[in-house]
Amino acid sequence: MADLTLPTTLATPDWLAGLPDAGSLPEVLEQALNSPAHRERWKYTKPGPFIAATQHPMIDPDISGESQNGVALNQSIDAPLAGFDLDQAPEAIARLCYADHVMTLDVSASTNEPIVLSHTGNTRPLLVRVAAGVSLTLLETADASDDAQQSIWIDLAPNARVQHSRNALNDAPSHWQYLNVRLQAGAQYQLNNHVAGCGSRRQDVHIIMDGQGAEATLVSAGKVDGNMALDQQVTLEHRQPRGQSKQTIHNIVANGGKCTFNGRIHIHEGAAGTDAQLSNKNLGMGEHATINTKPELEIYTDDVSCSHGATVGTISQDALFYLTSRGIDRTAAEALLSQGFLRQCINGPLADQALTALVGRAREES
Amino acid sequence: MSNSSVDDLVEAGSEYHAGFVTDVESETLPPGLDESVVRYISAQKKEPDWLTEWRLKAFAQWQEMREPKWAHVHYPPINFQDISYYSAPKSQTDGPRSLDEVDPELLRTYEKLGIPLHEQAALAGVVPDPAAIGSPAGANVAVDVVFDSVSIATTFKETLAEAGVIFCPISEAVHSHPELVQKYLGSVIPQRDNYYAALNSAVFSDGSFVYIPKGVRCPMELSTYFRINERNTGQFERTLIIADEGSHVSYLEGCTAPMRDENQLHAAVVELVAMGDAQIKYSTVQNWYPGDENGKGGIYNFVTKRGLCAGPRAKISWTQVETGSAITWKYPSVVLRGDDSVGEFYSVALTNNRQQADTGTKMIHMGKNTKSTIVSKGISAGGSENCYRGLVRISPTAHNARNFTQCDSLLIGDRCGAHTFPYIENKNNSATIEHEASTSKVSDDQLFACQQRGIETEQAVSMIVNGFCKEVFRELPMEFAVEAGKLLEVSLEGAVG
Amino acid sequence: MSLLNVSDLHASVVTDDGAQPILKGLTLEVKPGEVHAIMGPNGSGKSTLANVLSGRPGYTVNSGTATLDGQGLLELEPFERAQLGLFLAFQYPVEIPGVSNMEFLKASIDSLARARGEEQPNTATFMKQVRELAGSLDLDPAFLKRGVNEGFSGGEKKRNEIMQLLLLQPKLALLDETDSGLDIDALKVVAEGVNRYRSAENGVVLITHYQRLLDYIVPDFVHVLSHGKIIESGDKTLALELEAKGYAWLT
Repeated sequence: MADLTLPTTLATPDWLAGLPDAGSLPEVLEQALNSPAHRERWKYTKPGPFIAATQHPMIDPDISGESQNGVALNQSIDAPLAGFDLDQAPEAIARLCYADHVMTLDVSASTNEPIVLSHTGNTRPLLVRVAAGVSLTLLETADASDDAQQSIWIDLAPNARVQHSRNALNDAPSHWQYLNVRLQAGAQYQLNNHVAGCGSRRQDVHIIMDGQGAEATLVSAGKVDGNMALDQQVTLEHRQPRGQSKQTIHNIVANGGKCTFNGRIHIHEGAAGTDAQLSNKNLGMGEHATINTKPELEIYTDDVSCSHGATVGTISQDALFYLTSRGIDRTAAEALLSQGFLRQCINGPLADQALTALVGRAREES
Repeated sequence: MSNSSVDDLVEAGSEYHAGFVTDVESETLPPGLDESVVRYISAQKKEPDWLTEWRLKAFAQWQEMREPKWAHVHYPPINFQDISYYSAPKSQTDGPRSLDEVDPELLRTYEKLGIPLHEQAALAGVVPDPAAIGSPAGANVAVDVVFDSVSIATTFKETLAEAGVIFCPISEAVHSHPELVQKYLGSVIPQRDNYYAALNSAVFSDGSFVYIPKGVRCPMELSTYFRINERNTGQFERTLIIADEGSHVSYLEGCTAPMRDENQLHAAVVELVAMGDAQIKYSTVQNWYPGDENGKGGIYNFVTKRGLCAGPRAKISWTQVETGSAITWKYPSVVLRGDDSVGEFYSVALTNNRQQADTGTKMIHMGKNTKSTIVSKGISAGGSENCYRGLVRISPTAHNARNFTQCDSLLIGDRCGAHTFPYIENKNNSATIEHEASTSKVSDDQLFACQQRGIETEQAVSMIVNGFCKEVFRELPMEFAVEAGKLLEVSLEGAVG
Repeated sequence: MSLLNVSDLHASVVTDDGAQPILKGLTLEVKPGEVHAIMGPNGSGKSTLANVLSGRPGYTVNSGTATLDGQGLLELEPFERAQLGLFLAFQYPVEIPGVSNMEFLKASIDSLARARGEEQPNTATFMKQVRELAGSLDLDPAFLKRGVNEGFSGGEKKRNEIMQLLLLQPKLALLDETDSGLDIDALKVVAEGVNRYRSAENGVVLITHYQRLLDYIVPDFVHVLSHGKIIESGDKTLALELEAKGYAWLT
């Protein structure tokens, strides 16, 4: 692979001056882009178009719920967030620099209504800070029909709780979503992710358990067919003791679809008492589908309970027989079983839209 | 190993290699690698032209390739020009005269591993005093040993000959069975496959050649241990095993005794070919010297091993227990080309102190209804790093492929690392792949429970670790399984507080 | 001559927030042939006593002594204490998958025999003995092939502990809340096992929260532990009084 390069030289905005290596940011980012570990992350998807698009013009997402008590929406922030990771996310950091300005959302009191974001195009980076002990529900939909990107950072103060639902069901030539969530002690984060393949869709999720006793749950349902592509790169880092994480990702890959999943769990030295679970199940249907999955474990301490599982398979013949023996025709039976497989991972306020798009029927009908 | 004045040779300048060819065979080449070294090696073995050309082609490819870099293995750069690529077979007069002359530390380890006395002498390379052979007065343990080993060797050679099995050094096979060697050498691992395979192809010293004729079940387990001169094949071992249709063979490599070697770099290549309905079982128990507590002086073990299931219903199983080397980099693999063929990989890799292991397997499914099973148990202790790196690739033609992978890591202590990088690449929807990985530790509660019942700490750890490795040990030929258990005990000494 | 002699024992448990003192001057003497029951409210230090005597990691002895048959216990490693003749029936027996119950028992009995300078028992005889013992405690001998305590219910785990007690024949048995979580039938089986073990030469320290067990294993002495010390001692009637009046009556 040729060297990965940033589309144009970037200028480091003032508010990022606090970053280590801020003085030589462009060089540091280029180096990070080309590190062997990072190139591995682009093994199955061409990175060029995504990197080039980081400097495209950006708009604000449509937003509602931002006028509630305790919510402040602004256009600037004074200092970098703790979750900014130059090594692992050079593209996202670059995008922060290319943006004319960022959007910030500070939630200092628990909200009754969710905050809803609709990304109708290539939207500006969004930094969300949730104060200690505060609860927030965040809903996000991807609604662009052209190439678009999102980069979102969420920082949870101790004991904050965030329920995040995200639908990326739009058909577009390309779409990239970068999501970074940092949990401090006792914080809880739950993500319901519903996604369909598109021309080329990339979802990067980086969750950092940065405080004792934090809890993170990730549930994702995906469907990729008709020569569409989906590449999900998830990194879950346990840096502190007694964190709990659980990830369940179910994907259906059919007819020429290409689905890549890389789920890395990194448990740092000193993160004793960590409990980390990951289950990635892929159901192949039709012809010529490509499924790549790589659940990784990097563990540097012994006092952990950690397991991951990945499966690739087809619809169970036993289950099919059971349904058809009750008079259900084969196509309908396959549909029922594959829908059931996805439905296990479709939850939350945006579930209905997801059910319709991914499973073909809304909840009421089933 | 003789080390004639390097200065003299360097002074002789570029003519020194040519000058060397005419010298006596017992010399050792000074360090350095260029085309003339490759030619020299080939000439020393009196190889036919086709093989010399083959080596040269590999050398040319190697020069164009770059050393691989892996994220989790760190070692000081190897200077390939600093290594000697040819060392003549040790003469019969080299070596200790009796067990008394052998390093007592080595003997202590042999004892712990339960290796019987006469085998210990053979392993330590004890050479008898020629005058004392057959004379009771001068008899010592070594005498019995030589006779024993020779007689063992003779007996089994007869049995094999009766069955039509060929088991000899590859350097011999090149002359006695050139058509077989020429046909299959490099057929499973092409020269360009990777950096170390290319290097090995250019400078390989010697190794085993095995051919099992159609329908023959090899009447005994083939062990490299029986070939006394095997210990001198040095660092670039090359092994080729061909199992013709319907044949069966079980091959054992290595031994539990710690193998110290002057050579730090070991880059072996092992190729297995199983035809239709043939089965090859290849077991390795390897305990290369791991270096001292700080990792100095240990052996770098970079091995390329691959089996090809060439015909329908062929089966290849790799079983390995690795506890040594400073750095281990090996991925025994199986290419499942024949329909209904089966590949298996069972492995225990233990790292302690400062060792690093990056090991795993590749199962490449190409034919229909192929099946692969991977059971990998990694044990990390001390400050070591233990990585499993696996690939399960299902190509578009591999209808109805099945894979089951289980990777478990056992961590002892909080300074070590255990990592799992399994790649699953699937291009055929009818495949069923299941991968599970889990991490655990030897818990304080488990240890205390054993101790409270009077079981001492080391024994307790060893019991628990052996229980962890059970599934893999079950696949080893019996005598290896017993040795393997003891080997783990010895290797884990001091790992638990 | 006493079997177990604990004198003014002070011990702490190690936690994230530093050492927490639990035993604050505990004194106890058990003579051969005696059964002592230790009762007390939660947090009084009952399990700590068992853990400290058996040498479980995570505890520090600050002062005091403990001897078994006159030999100092506290300086010894856990396996050495076992080899001296101390046995702990765990409150929460741990699972050890991959190590079969039979393998574990044989390793234990062999180590103890070695320590006593005795011959290791013949395997066939040993296995027969184990199977018989298992049967007598209502345990299906098939469990011997499974991993230690794997797939066991709580009651089965406790019975496994008692089976080990009968097999290993220690000098002193510390039974840490052996009755917790057991229904009446399981309780009877466990009690019968302990009573079978009792002899004029050995001793039992029975740590329990409830009086119920003491109906079946009748103690010679009952001690009440509170805030790390024994505050009251008596015979079996003390237990009945506690049952009637509750711990608050004494503390």
